[in-house]
Amino acid sequence: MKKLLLFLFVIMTTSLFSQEDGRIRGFVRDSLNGEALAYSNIIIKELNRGTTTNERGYYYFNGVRVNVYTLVVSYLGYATKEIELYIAPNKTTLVDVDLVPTDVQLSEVEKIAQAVDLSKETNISIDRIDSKKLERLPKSVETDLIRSLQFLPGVKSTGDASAKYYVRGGSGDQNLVLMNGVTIYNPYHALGLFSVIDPDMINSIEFYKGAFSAKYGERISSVLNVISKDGNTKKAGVTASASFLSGKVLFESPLPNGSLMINGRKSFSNQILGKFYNDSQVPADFYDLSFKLNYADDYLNKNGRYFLFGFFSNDKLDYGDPTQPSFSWNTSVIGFEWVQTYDSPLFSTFRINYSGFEGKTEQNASTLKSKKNFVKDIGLSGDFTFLYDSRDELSTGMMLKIIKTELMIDELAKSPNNVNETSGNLVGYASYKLARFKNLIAEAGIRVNLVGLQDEGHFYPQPRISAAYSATERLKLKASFGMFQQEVAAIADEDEVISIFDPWIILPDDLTPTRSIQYVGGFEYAFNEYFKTDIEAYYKTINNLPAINDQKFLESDPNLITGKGEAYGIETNLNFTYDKISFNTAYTLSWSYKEIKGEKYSPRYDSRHAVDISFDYNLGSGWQFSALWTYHSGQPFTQLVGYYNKFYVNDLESDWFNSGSYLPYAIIAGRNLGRLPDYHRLDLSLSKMLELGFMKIKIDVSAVNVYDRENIFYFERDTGKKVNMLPFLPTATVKLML
Amino acid sequence: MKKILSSLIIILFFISCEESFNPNTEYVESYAVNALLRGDQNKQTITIVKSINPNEYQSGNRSTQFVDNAVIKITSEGRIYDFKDSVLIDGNNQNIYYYFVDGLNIAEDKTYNLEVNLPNGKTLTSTTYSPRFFTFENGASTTVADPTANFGISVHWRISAQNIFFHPQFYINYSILENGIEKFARIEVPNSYITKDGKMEGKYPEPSTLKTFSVDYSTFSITLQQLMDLVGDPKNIKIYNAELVLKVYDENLTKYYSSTNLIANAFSSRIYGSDYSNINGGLGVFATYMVHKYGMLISEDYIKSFGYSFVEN
Repeated sequence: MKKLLLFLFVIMTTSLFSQEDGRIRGFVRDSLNGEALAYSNIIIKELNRGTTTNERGYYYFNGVRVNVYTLVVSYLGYATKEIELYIAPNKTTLVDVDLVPTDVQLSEVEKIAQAVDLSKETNISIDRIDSKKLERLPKSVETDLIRSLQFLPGVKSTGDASAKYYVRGGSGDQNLVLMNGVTIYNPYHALGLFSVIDPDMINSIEFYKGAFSAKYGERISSVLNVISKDGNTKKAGVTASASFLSGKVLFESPLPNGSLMINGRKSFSNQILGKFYNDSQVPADFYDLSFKLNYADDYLNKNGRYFLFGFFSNDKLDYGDPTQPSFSWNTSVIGFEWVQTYDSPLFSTFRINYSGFEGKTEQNASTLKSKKNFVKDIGLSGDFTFLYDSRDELSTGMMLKIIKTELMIDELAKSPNNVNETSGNLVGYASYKLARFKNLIAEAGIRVNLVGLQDEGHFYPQPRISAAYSATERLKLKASFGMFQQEVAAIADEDEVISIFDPWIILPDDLTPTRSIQYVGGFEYAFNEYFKTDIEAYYKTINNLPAINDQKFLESDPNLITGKGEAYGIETNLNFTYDKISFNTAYTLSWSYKEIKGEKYSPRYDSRHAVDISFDYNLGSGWQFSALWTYHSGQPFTQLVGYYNKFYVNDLESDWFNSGSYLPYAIIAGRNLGRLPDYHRLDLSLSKMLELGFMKIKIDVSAVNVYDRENIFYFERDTGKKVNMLPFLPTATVKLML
Repeated sequence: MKKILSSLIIILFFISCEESFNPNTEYVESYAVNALLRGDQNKQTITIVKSINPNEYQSGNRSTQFVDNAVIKITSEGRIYDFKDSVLIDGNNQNIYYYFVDGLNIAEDKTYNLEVNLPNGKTLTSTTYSPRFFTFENGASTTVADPTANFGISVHWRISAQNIFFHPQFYINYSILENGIEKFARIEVPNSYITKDGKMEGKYPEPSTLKTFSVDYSTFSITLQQLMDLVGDPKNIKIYNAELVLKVYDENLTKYYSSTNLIANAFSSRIYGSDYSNINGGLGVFATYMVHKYGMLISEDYIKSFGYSFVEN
């Protein structure tokens, strides 16, 4: 043990470079609006040494020998910039870089790929989607962040009628969605059809499909980290757009020492929503509103930047009929963040935030029972990253949360069942990234709940280890291992085709927190500068998986029981990007299982094979074409053995057997033993950007399910009739930019 | 280029076609026994229904397949009760085959065993336990709509069993004079009223674990007013009293009722429901329920304020 500690001490304190070395730091931004360009590549050409900007567009090089260098800064969709600079001894050279979008500077050849990844990232199980790519994807009515995730390998859905996503065999509530670092509990609009996060407000997206670093916790399957735009720092502007579903406005403006962004969206028609539900009436109404204000004043605090942000969304489903139930959902997020860079190689972020969710079902005069769920989450966190001269990094942080959840359900007639919990969560993490070696990047970290939300949630260590080794200039091998814990859950009934009330609760103390162990291994291979493949295999186990007790017939029966899960698979991604063409093929072969009360079954989102092929072509003169073909092998369903007319108790009079009802009831086979037919569809999109003096207009026409494939959604038990998903659906969006 | 496009269109046409898909698996014949023994009578009845092949069912054959010629017996405390079979014709002209026995009184807190020998030789068995000792609590209302207190009724009860369901139904007993003949009837008082399309609709109590029942003054008054709208001239109506009829389910009936009342919402379509059965080898339920009655007086002045005749009990 002493030897191990000594080794760690030596590693963390050793500098491989002399004190005469210099440093480079700065921000990479869009030249037109000043938005940070997260995850852009920066290379010191002469040293063949690279890094990437963080989610704030910030980068830092340590231990750079005194000399003259060329800094090469590139980002997809922007003209690459080369900057010559002199590194002075013991000094930090500040180099802020503004990149020019290539749709402005069309004459230059876009450098969009590198054969070899020079960044200091292990890049395991992570996908980064930039807002420009998001715009280009074919739209199911309108661009949607979460629906776009479903085209990534390892991400599954249960069909067109839900944007809910399932990552590597995990349940939907095991995905953490963060907006500027703050948890969003219900990221869906309109019964789960669309994401609440409007793509127009997004600066960058980071999506971890598992094996994430010790910085992230709270959920066991995935992390979606969305950073919103800061607002245009160069000039004020308004962008307005309309689709068949909603209208939205984005306002951005520079302010003294900062900028402002306000974005709002409101539904104005629900005609198109019915298409998702087999032409049913869907009287949904929603809006979302977000803002971000940022401020930086060197007189007040040198190198400090402050952000105040908020996000609010509201959904209603009301038939205007007292005999029908009505539904409502509200999400509120507000936060304040202080980001500080220093002359020393330290970067820190402090945040205080509130996140709330309220979901309500009003019974009115219907037979549906009233339900109400709310979550109030107050958080305080601090994160620090220290960069050693050796290029190694130490990240550490603390997070304190107070969470209150309440669930009220009028159970079987009139006896309200309240699940009410208030609890605190104090988490600490530390992670050390070994980046000093040319061909090896390794990261080891640990996350510990010093105080857990549940009684059994304290002091459960969650080690996270990942490593990437560049065996050759073209081949990078990678592997990771991690242990994860989750103490909250959305209690969704997975036997409902569409679940519209998924209440969040802190898991009761009589249940052990949900825990997962994950292993990932794979490699990246670059055939050349333009043609790359990325293959990953994963295996994960889940213990203490909470599930609704579908055998709860008595008030004393537990609401929740626990089971276990297992998932494994292999994901491949093949990408070809050259000039104005981008072609991507993703294939996933996967298995996932759950075991509840001794019955092992495949969850509904477990399709064995999944293929997504996308093609983007920049036709020039503002024209852009994209196509996406999606294929999933059949999802599991429960087959019918027979029917019987079940006796329903109406009024137990003397002749009950005659006065009661005998209604059809399905006798079912083993759970999810059958498979639905395969799902596939082709979506096409064509857009044109027009410049009319002071205004730009973007017109986008999309066609969903071009060949009108009859993908089965579910079958009606009573009749055996198929209910299909989206038919052929043409849509259009118009966007005006002032 | 034309060839490529033509080929593509032909391929897309074929892959867009509907695939044959059968949601059913191999049919297995099953039987459901419905045996609900009632505590306030000694005649007990049972029905048995047979399952239907899903292909037949989906093509329209949905009539309830009642089973006759089964041999049924119930045993309790050493006594055996053999059931006889009978048939009645329901409103849809369908034969309802049922089994009955006279002389089987259901006592509180007793065990009952069921054995069903089906015509195909298969035997189904089950056991149930009747609800325990029950009493209405002191302090429950004895008079309805007391104008001095300006409230309706409130009744509570006590039972040692946990979890079981109670189904309270509150009635006003009255008679109506038609062509010189007095006909007795009753009207159920709801928990509350809602307005739908300009009309008042009652919301009636459902079985629940609540050990209390109450109706407020205004709800009771609306019911009496609706009675007038129903039968016309209030002078022809005599109001006798009010009565709470309380059905107490045993645990098996509670579970069975729960399983049939997990009502989904408009957008919910469960892949399969939660079924409950305590029939070994089959489906359905074997259960008991007790019926308790609690009579209450109605204030004379209050009845007369509606123009009804009052009958002193």
